[in-house]
Amino acid sequence: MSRALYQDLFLDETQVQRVYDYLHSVNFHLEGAGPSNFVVSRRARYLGYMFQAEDLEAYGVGLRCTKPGMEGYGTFIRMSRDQLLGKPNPRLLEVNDPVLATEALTLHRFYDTPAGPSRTGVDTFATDSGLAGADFDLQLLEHQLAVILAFHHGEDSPAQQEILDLKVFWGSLLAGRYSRLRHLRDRLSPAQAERLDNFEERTRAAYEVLFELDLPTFESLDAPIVSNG
Amino acid sequence: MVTEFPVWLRVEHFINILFVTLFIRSGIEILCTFPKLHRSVHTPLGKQWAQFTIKEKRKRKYFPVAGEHDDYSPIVSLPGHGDLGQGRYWHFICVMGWVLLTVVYWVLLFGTGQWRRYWPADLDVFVQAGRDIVSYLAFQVPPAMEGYPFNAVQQLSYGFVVFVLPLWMIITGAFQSPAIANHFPRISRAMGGRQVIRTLHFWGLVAYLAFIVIHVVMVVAHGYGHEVSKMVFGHPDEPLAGGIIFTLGLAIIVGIHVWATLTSTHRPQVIEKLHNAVVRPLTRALRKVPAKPAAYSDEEITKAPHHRASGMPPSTQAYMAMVCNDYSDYVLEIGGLVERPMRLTLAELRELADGHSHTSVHHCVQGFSSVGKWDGVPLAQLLDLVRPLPEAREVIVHSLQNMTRDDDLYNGSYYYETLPLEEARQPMSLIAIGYDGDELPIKNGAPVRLRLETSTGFRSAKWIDRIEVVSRFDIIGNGMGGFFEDTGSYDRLQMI
Repeated sequence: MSRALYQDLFLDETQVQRVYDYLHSVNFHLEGAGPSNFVVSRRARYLGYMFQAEDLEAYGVGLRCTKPGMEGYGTFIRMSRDQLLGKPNPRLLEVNDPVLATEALTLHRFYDTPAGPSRTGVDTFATDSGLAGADFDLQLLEHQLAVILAFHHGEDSPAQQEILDLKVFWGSLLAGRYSRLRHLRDRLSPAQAERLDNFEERTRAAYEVLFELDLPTFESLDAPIVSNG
Repeated sequence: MVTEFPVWLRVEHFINILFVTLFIRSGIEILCTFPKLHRSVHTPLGKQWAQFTIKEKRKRKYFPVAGEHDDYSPIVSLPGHGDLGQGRYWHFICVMGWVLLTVVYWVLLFGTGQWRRYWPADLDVFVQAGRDIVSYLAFQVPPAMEGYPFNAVQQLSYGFVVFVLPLWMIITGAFQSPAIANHFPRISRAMGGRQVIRTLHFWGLVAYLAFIVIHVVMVVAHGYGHEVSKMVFGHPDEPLAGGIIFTLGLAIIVGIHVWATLTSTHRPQVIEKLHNAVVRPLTRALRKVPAKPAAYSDEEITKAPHHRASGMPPSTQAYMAMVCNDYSDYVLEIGGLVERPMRLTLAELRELADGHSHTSVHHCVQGFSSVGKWDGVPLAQLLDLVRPLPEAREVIVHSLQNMTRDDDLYNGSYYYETLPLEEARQPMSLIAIGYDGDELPIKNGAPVRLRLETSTGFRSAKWIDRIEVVSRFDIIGNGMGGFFEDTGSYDRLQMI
């Protein structure tokens, strides 16, 4: 029966110290921050059930960086249950990469800090010059066009999208963020307007690729809507 | 009069053979994708009262319900091999046709007085039926009742099949619709809840199968030619011609089944188009029917982590890092065709939610269910904050889940789902950020998921990455409105 072997562990002081000791023993670090620069999360998450590639004994302990300039960077360390419980000769699991939690978000590469965007909330883009949020809209559109061209050229891209992804993200951006910019063009700053013009020009120059990959174009937005459901 | 076999009765009998057999095969296909029967609305692991699979699950590792589907032969299931989408298309196409046929039949029965043929005149009929069964068991054919074209046990069984069983199947079928069940939560609960209703529907299938077997045996026992002559000519006096014509009719029905199976397998879009033409008027109407909070108290909800789920979470170490840091790194991006795009952390979402929650029965397209208490922000409230522009018609929800990377069974792209603004603004359309006062469990979509309570569960996208408001969805993906809609035979209108 597929029930979890273990539950999360809530770490006491001794167990937290074991985590710190382990961080030092494997020299777990982020670029610029060593094993002493973390606060350990008190809740060790049992990873062995939900994550298919994880060992059945695997736990993950959250680490929050404290190094000045890197505050808030979140990562984790993988440890076995026996390690956390202080059993003799515990199994040591493979040390994980010092990945950042924000990298789980597909838009992380657009945020202004590795720990995530510095501005959030209902007024995230209120202080933008020109149309609020337009710079980010343009960034996404430009990036997606680049991903399409890289896919067409057989190049690797950090986005690692398949053909259906291209259709989903490109279609979504055209029908959403691009349409927004088109609708609110008169509120763009001169720089935003120029950037939008450039984007449109580069997209039109890539029409052959879009047609070949069966991706929508600007004209698709003006075609009658076929509402399949 | 009741000894006659009017032409409309004979036509109905023939068409019914087609519909009932299509129902049975497509119903078995639907059953095979979650081949377990439960009593509890929580569908607890290992507590099924019946199981129609020998498939083993992974031990000690999360096993999504999607992996529970079995692979049945196309001889018994339509179209076979666990094609739930096409099975549902056929089942619902038949619902529309057969319900219409049944209503017409009942109107004619009552309008012409022919209903008396199926109605026992007095309680003696039941006693006589018992004697008739004994006769059959002694290989003696009991005589017809005076003034009737059949004997007592036949009258009772036909009456059951004509009046009771259709109502049974229509009601238990309708209340497996998330839109109907979640609009009438007290009635659904009074019927025993989602899984009892599913089990009752299954017993209806068994009743139909039993009736068919016994009926066919009896037709042969009474004399095939004479009996089918009644259904062809209205009298028993042309056994040869009646036998040939009726048998040709059965061959046509078999041919339709073969065509249905091959078309579903090799040209599924044909069946999809037929389904859309016939069924969508109903599902479009049901989309307008809002869900209401489930009739279960807080003590009765499915406790986390037992709320059943399908689909695999993001398998990346970055997602594990997010989990291990209690999701404080999470940001929800909301943008698109809006006046005011924004990014909201989990803390900001909690503040907007301000303690809001609702309880609902989750209806998976496969047939499992759970009762969830979801904490979160009504999607309508978020839309009011971002202010969709006039051209906006749809909302698209992109997930962190990459099907190729993360899922056992499916591949192709990141998961996504779309919904019209009309559905997004329904009172129980929710961006869920918690479960029963705690974080969402990973398998249920942590840290943020969508809840759409008039729809089957796969449209309630989990592990949300971003929400975009858009003008149209036909230019997105393969234009069908979501991952399963794009890659399989699933309609976006999942109200039944």
